[in-house]
Amino acid sequence: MTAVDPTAPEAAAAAGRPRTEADTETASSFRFAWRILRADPTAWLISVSMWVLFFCLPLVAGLLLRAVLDHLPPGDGSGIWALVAVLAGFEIGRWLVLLPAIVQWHGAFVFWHTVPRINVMRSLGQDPGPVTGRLPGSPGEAVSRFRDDARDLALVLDVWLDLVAATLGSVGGLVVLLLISPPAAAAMAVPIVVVLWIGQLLASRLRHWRLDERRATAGVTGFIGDAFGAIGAVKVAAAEPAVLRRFEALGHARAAAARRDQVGTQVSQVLGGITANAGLGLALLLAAPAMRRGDLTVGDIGLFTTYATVVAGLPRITARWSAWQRQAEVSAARLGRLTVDRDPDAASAKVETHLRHGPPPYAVDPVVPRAQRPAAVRLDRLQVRGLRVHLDDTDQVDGVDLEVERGQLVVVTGPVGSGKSVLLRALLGLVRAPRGPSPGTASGSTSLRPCSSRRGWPTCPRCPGCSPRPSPTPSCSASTAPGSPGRSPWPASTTTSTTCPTGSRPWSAPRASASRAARCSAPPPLGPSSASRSCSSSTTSPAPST
Amino acid sequence: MSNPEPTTDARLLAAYLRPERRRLSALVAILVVAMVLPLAGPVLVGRFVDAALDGEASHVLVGLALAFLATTLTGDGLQLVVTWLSVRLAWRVGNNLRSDLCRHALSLDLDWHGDHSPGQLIERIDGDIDAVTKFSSTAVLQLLGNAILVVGVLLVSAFIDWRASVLIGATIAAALAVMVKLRRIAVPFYDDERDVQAKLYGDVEERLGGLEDLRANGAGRWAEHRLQQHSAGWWRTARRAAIRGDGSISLAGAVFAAGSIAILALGVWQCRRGELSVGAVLTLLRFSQLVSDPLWRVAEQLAEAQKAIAGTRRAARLLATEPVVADGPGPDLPAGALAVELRDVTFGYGTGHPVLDRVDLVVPAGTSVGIVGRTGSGKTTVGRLVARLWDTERGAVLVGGVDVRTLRLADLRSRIGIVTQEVELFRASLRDNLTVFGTLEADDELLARSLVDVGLGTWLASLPDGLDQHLDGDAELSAGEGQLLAFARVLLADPAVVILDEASSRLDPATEERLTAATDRLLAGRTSITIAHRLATLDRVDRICVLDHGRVVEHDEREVLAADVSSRYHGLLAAGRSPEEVAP
Repeated sequence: MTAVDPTAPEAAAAAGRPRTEADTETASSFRFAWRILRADPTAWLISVSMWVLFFCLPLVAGLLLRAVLDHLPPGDGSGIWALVAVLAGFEIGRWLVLLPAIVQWHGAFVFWHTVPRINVMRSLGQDPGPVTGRLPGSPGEAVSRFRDDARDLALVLDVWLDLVAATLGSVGGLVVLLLISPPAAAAMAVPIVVVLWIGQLLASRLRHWRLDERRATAGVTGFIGDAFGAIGAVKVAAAEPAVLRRFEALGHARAAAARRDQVGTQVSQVLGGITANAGLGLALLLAAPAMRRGDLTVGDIGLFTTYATVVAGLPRITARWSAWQRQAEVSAARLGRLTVDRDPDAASAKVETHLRHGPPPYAVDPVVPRAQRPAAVRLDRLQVRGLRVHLDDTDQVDGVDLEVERGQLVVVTGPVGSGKSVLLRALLGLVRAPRGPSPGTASGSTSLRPCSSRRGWPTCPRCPGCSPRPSPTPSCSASTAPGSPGRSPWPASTTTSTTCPTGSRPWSAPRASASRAARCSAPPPLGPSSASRSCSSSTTSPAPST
Repeated sequence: MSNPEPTTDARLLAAYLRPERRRLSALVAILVVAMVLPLAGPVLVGRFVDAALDGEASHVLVGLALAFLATTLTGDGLQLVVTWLSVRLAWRVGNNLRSDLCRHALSLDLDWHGDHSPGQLIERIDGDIDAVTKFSSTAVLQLLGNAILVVGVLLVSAFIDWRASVLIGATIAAALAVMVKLRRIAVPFYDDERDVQAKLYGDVEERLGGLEDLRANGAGRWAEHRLQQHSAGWWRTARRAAIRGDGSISLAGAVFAAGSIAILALGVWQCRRGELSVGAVLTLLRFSQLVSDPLWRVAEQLAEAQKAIAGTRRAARLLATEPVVADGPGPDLPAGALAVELRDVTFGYGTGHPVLDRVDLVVPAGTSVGIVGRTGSGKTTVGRLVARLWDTERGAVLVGGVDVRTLRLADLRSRIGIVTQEVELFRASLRDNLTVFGTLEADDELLARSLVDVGLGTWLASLPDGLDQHLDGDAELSAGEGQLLAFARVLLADPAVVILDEASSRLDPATEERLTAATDRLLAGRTSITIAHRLATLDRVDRICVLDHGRVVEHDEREVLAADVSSRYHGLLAAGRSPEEVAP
């Protein structure tokens, strides 16, 4: 038996996506979209009114056309040229409305993407609580949350525009038709009802296909991210052909899913055309006797031809809407899961996006010398009692009592996997400690958010690619004694580039690390203090300005 | 910019479409029928009106209405068939392109990868091509179909009134000219937009990849700031691109609207002169709408096309980037242990500052050397050069007496095993991680044995899915266990040369003890280079090489250096060992 069966791309694809079961979780996309819409209702209202105008102007144009045709011989030809001129104005004006509508829409579209992204990034980077369980496995898949899930939700808002405009257009058209010829109105309405019904039947299948496609796509993008994230290992193992084989297998499975999805979507598009043609054909059938009697004029037939298209817009939009719906529900839940309380509302919270002018310059909190800090954040003593960290169904850390006075150096040691890093993460508030006091209880401070911890709680995480340290064991020190570099296990003078040269990609050339080091280190250099916030900083170096 | 031929984008796509010629022609045949059938619609409506005005019998009118239903609905049905075929075609072509991009990106140098994050590659290999496939699957339908429709409309309307046919043709030409002209203006703006997006996603990917460090150092607010900056950039570029790109839709739409009004005016004029029937006027108007209705969708496709063109252009650029480190002509390496030699090697990472400076080092086949030196002395670089992850600037690296540049990369690397301090694990099954997606062929028994050999037997037994266990991040593996896994990978690969680069630096003493036996087995009969800070790791190597600032300052047998009180190695031995290392 061979260890790897290259003929089983499906199995390989399945192995590549273990988290799909979580995708059955949904959240109301309606609520999500509504909350984002409310954040900037003006933009949406401008968009919707322009869209309504664009969809409804053809109704006026249809009436004008009817008048023109009725004035043709054998009708009375007076004023016909004036009518043609007005019609020209309406038709051309309609397209000119479109330009500002679209430019405005693009801005709003970016806004709809940005709100959940900023909320999620803020929660991931700044909220306390565990982060490991929130993110999907690979960075590639995580990016797909920011890219595809955000887009799905933005598209829901977009479809709402279309839906409002198309509904108004459709209903308005049917009302006008009803006034002119009730049988014709019925003839137009029946195909719409039938197609809407078919669309409803198709909808669940379409959603299913859409989900399959998205899952397969996430598998492909995740794999690219993974393989190129570890490109050094791939090259060293000469695994390029194997990686390519796997990539092709995933792509194959994805193409099958995508074909179904795209054809399904096209079916719902074509249904719109079918509605228009069927509606017009039926209207002609029903209108035949009335035409012969002279109850209906040539103008009325002309109006039918125009209105058939307008009225048939509804089924197409509805099909689109319901296809997006389910995917957006999954997306809303997925984005919500990235936030600290797995709350979809947190991802759609109102937030300042600074899209038009860009964000204000990044301001770093001034470094306050220890002596000038308020007592509450001076951290004279770190006390931990009965700390327990329960992750992945096991107690990683249990019953830890720890007391560290200022100036003390504590070495935490133990075998691989004994929970040293978990303890440190818990102290930093990076994982949540469900039992015992809040992650770290320092005297004068009861709750530590990761962002507030950086001043007094320097840490050297076992950051990927850290160069070997003079310290022999990968011990971690929870030193609460800033300002004692002499006793620090790590030289305080180490610079960013030598302590974490390459992020998680140890094979990258050092010159590439300058940008990548940003992962480990803090914000752009701002004088000497920035080096002290690199990931190796075991001590808070003296403040640059006192 | 390394883009000598900016026009390669069209040629690139054509090259991928060429093998699909026959399927394409079948598709076109069905498309012709699907697009010609709807032409009957306006003609039948016109006849219907004229028949009614002429007072013909009801059954004639009903017959015309039924004919209308039959032809148009058949046309719609055929359109679905066309969709199915074109989507299949597009995915085949798109996936071929993706595969080639992936293959090419895999072959590119690590220098290049250092400048391109995995997130950017996702955009290059998938995002861009996604735009290309989406475009080609629907655009084949829309563009070609509408071309057929236009020709049909022009021919049929010429039978009714040649002036109308000319007018329709002129309108289409004017609208297309507007669109094409504006399209050309818009392309660089769409390029900008996609560039900004690629940066945005690349940035997000990096932040998410290093999230824990980011949080621990309080840089979360900064990550948010960067996201805001990129989003604002996207907002600007998206609107700029929209004004140009979608402006073409708007203007062309207006041109079309003007054209169809002109046709109506022509019809009115002719009808009043008695040259045209009322039904014919309606037919002509319907024709002008028939070509203008899908215009909206064509224009939509043109916007997609702009993205697709930008995507193909970037794909062509990626494919045009040539790796420096490429296969040599490929003499075969001898079997068994291989000697490693660095001959007058000078190397820097393109920074002008040499990391290795005229290094000479010979490791005879089957012997071991330990490299020591301060951080930044070039130790790790030695290992990278031996595996030819980079090429030397000067001098040569020889493996088995052969210059590595003359070897095929796969031949060379399959004979070299490297364990680094930071183990790169894939989010895939344990089996995939061991065999690197099947690069190494091994049955389950062998896989399990290699794990047992490195001391991961109990761990393997604890996994619910065994070798099929999906490894996802840190959840299942501690860093030390990851390193043991890398040892198992090398054991399995059975290489001739083993490079251990701080391989045990993240293991606790107890685990390291477990590994010693495995290390001994791994190194037995093989050439090995061990890079270490912890001198205890080097207790069993034959020779020691001390590097300082990229130069070899000492190189001799370990015992000799250890005994020589004046040697640097002796000094390191005396000073370097901390109590933890000496303790059992």
